[in-house]
Amino acid sequence: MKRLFEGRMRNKQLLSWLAVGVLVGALLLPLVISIPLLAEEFEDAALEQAAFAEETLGEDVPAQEIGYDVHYGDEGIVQGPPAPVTSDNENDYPRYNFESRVIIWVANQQHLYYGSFVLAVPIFVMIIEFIGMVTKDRAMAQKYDTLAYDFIKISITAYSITAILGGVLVFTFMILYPAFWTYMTKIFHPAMHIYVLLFLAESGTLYIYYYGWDAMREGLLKWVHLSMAVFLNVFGTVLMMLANSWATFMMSPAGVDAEGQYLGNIWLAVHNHLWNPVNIHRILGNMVFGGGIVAAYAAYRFLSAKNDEERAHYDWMGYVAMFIAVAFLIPLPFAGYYLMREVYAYRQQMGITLMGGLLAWLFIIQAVLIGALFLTTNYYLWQGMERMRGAERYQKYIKYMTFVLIVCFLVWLTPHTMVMTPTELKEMGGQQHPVVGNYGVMSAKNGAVNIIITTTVLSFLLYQRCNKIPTVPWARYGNIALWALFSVAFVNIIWLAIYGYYIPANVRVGLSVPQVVSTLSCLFIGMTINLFMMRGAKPTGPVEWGKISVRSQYALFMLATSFTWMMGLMGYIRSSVRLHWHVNEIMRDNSPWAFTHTIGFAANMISFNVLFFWVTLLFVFWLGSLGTKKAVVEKGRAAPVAALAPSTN
Amino acid sequence: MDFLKDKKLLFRLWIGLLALGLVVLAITNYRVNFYGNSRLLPVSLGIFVTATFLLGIYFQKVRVVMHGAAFMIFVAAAFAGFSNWLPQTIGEPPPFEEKIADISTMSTQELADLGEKLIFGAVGASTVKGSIGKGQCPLCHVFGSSEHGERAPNMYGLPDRSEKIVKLDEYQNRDTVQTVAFDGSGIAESGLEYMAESHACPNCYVSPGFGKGGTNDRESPMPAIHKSPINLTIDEMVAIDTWSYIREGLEAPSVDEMRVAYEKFIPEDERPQASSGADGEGEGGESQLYATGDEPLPKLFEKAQCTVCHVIPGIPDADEGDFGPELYVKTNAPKRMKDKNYTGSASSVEAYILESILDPNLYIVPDFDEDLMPEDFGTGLNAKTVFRIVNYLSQLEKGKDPPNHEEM
Amino acid sequence: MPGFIEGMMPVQLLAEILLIIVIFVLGAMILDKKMGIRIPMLLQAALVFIAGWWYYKFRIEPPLPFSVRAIYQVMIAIGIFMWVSSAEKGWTEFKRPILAVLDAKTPLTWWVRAVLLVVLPLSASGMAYKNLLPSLGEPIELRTVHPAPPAAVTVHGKKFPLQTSESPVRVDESGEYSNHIQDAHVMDNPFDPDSIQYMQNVKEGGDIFFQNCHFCHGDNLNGRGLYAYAFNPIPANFTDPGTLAQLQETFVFWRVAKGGPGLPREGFPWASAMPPWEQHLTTEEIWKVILFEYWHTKYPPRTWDE
Repeated sequence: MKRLFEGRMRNKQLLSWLAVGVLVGALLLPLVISIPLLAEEFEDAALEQAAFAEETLGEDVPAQEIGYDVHYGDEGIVQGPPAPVTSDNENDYPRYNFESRVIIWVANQQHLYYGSFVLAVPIFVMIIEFIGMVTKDRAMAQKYDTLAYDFIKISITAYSITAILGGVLVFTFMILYPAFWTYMTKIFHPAMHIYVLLFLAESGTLYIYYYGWDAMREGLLKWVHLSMAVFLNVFGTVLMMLANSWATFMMSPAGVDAEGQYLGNIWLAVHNHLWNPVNIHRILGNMVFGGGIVAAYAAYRFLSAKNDEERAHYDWMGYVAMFIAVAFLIPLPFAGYYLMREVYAYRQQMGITLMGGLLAWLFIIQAVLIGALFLTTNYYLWQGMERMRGAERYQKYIKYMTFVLIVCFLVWLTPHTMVMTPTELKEMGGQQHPVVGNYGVMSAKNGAVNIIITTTVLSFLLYQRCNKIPTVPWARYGNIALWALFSVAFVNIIWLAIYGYYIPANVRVGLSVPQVVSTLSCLFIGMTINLFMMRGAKPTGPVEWGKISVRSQYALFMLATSFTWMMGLMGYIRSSVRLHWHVNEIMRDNSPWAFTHTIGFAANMISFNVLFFWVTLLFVFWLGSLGTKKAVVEKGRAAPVAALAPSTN
Repeated sequence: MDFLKDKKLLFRLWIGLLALGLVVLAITNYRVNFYGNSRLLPVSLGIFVTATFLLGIYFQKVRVVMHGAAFMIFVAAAFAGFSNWLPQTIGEPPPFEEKIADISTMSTQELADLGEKLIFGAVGASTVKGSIGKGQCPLCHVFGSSEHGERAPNMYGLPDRSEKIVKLDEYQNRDTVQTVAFDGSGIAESGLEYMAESHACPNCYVSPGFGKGGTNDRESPMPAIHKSPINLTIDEMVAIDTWSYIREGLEAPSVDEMRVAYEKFIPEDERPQASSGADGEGEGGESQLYATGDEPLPKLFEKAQCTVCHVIPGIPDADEGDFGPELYVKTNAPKRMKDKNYTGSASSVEAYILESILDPNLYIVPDFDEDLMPEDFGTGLNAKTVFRIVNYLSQLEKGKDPPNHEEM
Repeated sequence: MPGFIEGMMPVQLLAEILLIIVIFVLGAMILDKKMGIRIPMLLQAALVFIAGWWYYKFRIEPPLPFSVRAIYQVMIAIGIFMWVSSAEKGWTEFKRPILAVLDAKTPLTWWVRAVLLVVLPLSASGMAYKNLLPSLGEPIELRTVHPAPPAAVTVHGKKFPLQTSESPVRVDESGEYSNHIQDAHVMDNPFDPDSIQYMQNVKEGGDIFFQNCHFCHGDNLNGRGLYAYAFNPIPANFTDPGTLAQLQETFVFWRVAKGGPGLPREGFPWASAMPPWEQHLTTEEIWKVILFEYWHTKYPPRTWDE
């Protein structure tokens, strides 16, 4: 009997690894099809087609106008009208007695918030469901499964709201920006139709996935259920990438000639210069964002919980969501770096507008937000130590880590261009401060942010060890290795940051590589050593879920609000870098709102959007809690699950 | 915190007072710190925070929602407040560059205005003496009904005259250096086409008496204006023709008809494109100068328009102008400065040349017409150009070899 | 107190802050463990806050703008909060005196409360009064030091795309453009008549600089020329690593050729009094003077890719 059980376990393990393979493969599929190599094939095919047409039809056909791709430089046959030259009138820009751009801003942002949420949640529902399936501990597995179900339930309502907001957005475009919308549809109409079809496919999959949860909970059916999650995510990712291509086309148009005339190859228009960088950035960003929202939801339920059991469940849920968010937050700056690099490669002018010109101050605000995120993450982890007995050993280090973090943030937040009155300027004797001004440059900031991330990794490591005392024979050496690893990383990062001042900028850019390697090796090697050290460790007590301060839950609120705000800000930056262009360098914005707003106005708009989103989200959560009540009553779920289900106060 | 339980009322009172104080402080700060600009949101949010927080204290049942909301509003307000605290700048779009991208949507009057602007530099400038626009037409042509064209035909009455010219025998069987605009273009069959042909191919037919000196009216001194350096687009020439009709009270042909006429005489690869304006940002506008001063001397004389009227010894391609005197200035200037008709004040050759460029009518060389040389060279040539012109001309002596222009 | 050492300033600052904190922690520890005097959490927090304020206000020379100090001080306050509230024990200890002042019933707390009730509104109104008082200071201007350049710039009828153009005078012995020629000749004598073309270009650039530019930008290229203080802001300091060293040569070419009037509109106000030098210098002279400026400051121009 026992042997049989073990055999089944092994099969299950094999199956689960296979599933991981499929999962990862399917997720990577959309990225694979977007690699540039394929683009070339598409181009060749298009050119061959054109050549073929020429040969077979001979000289009888009227001469076709040839255009040159504004980005790729390829020759193509003109197939569309040039970009319209609009003027400030009611035909091109119909309007209410209000700034049209603000209306489209709100519609777009709300759609994006909900869209990101419903794209992100299925990804980690899939991960959590999978974890639940491979967890050996039955109670734990059940817990994960419930959690996944809880998540997808929230996203169902959000899904229909996303669709509604998408409709609102399209109508807003058609009504307020008809000339622009017509031009875009003339280029992208095939992609738009695919988009709609995919949306249908995704809806179908989502509903079967959600409503089939209970029916497909055993054996092979469960695997089928999980594979549906994979398809759901593939559809979702392709959907997002299609939508991204329209936004990035506006930033870095391709597939059209200099007049904006479509050259007949939709792939080139989709695969424009900034498409892939934005894709990667957005996938990671969505995950962080989704994690943040679920964490806030858990925090809210924790705070309003009536008994210890509820508190334990939602504390745990908040922790898992926060963990997912931070796991994706750490690679996000690197994706951002890649995007920025590509922006510079596309147009230096655009890069400077972002980093040194008109929009540079928005990056100061971004720096503040990044600061808020990392500080809050550390704070939450430190608060989490209270859950465990034996944490006192590590709590005394908190003040030193705080010190390191704050000093790094002082460097990180030192603006390159300081705000000052002319009197202060004269006292200082120039734009650059001789002492503090040195922190305003890239070299110092790279060092600072790497130390911040490394310290966060350290916090997490300490958190993991809190209630365990290692018993492996090499524990002593393991500790020494960890000490050495982090010390070397810190020294290396700081040394390179200082060295960066003495070498030219183009060499300095290369320094960020060893710095990042230091940070990442702390993350991976440190985690691995720690993991092995904690094998069979002597516990000093269980993790007492629910025994955590109220402040920690506010830290989760802080994380969620900051993510939402950051997303609004970065979206605004990405969009406004086009300045007075609808489509960069091809279609000019001649509406009265072609100017770039002040940062104050933009920040107010972002705050409004953030708060509007959270108010509507509250409604979604409320709907979610209604649904739970019925589900519990009707289906009469197992007792422990019912006890874990959210209360309905 | 046990002592709080029985003292809740006092505690609440304290919180309430504190909150009120914060609101007052927030409003005061707002009044002062934002330089009177409307940045109400962070302040309103600050008030919201206090209000929701207070609601949370007084209504215990919704405590969690209210405190959570208050906290979120606080975070949003803090970020918005920080952003508003930074100094504010609006990014204005660059001025819209006038493109004549679509003249077919213009009214006839707008089109005619554009034409006038191209000829004279501004709308209404046709009556101002000496005004000149991108097309540079008034450099040679005159436009008034009673004026007499010296260098080139008077443009008044052109639409009517063209109709007659195309029927003339001399026109139909012409013997110029270039009898057709390009192979297969044919010749003009209407007045409209004649106007287009003379813009695109001045050599095709030369009005009697206005040919290049010594060519017996077989060659025209006029450049093809759709080519460098004037570079007018077809649409711009259409605008100019429209003005020619409109100002005489005639009905102008449609834009399409005129375009067709021009397309007949300008082969496709010679049609200049309207500058797109996409790369025009921050370039500081188009230069009004004839020359930058860095050109080689022959090019410089050509661009400064000297060679149209003057023979300049030693400069290749400057041997045909006969509207003005040959420029043996070093020989002639001393004599002229002593002439009784001389009204200037120059005492050296260099000063004389400079004076003649800036104010040509101070002395009119016998046998040449008054008022022929434009008076705007002073604004169209920069110092460097003038310096090099003066430097070269002042060394030209009759009977001696001109200096080597390549070294100057 | 010794000042900041040239060249080591940022590191020195960090070291000093570290020293202050070490002294603070050691001091508190010695007091607690050896002498049995425990400084209350609230007092510790207040001391750290004040120390930070003192350091940035009085130690750093020249004085920091208020905006920067405000950012620093808020960060320090957040750090203090994170530290005192990281563990429940410390947080309770930190809160105790505050809550006591709010509500405890000993005579001491009553007096403190009474005093605060008077002092807090008074100081709030004092701040409000001070804020509302009209001041004669000029308003703050947001100035972007390096505005976004156009994609291409036309100088003397020739178009230079900023992304791809290269200086025609930064040439090696074979007359080809070279990124590394400056490094090899940075110590050469520009007055040596037998020097290579590059050094002769530098010398000519120097002549142009001292005929046109040094009145404002200074004979040490440090932005402290004869007329420098007539301008607000003062002219750019080329020895500062934040100016020339950060920029591509073509960017500098654009700024020199078009001057203050050529700055883009989107980032107004620029307040640059520099004339558009294209009206006074030839294209080659502009390139040469830029070449000289880089050579003299020893900074290589920024390049994006090798």
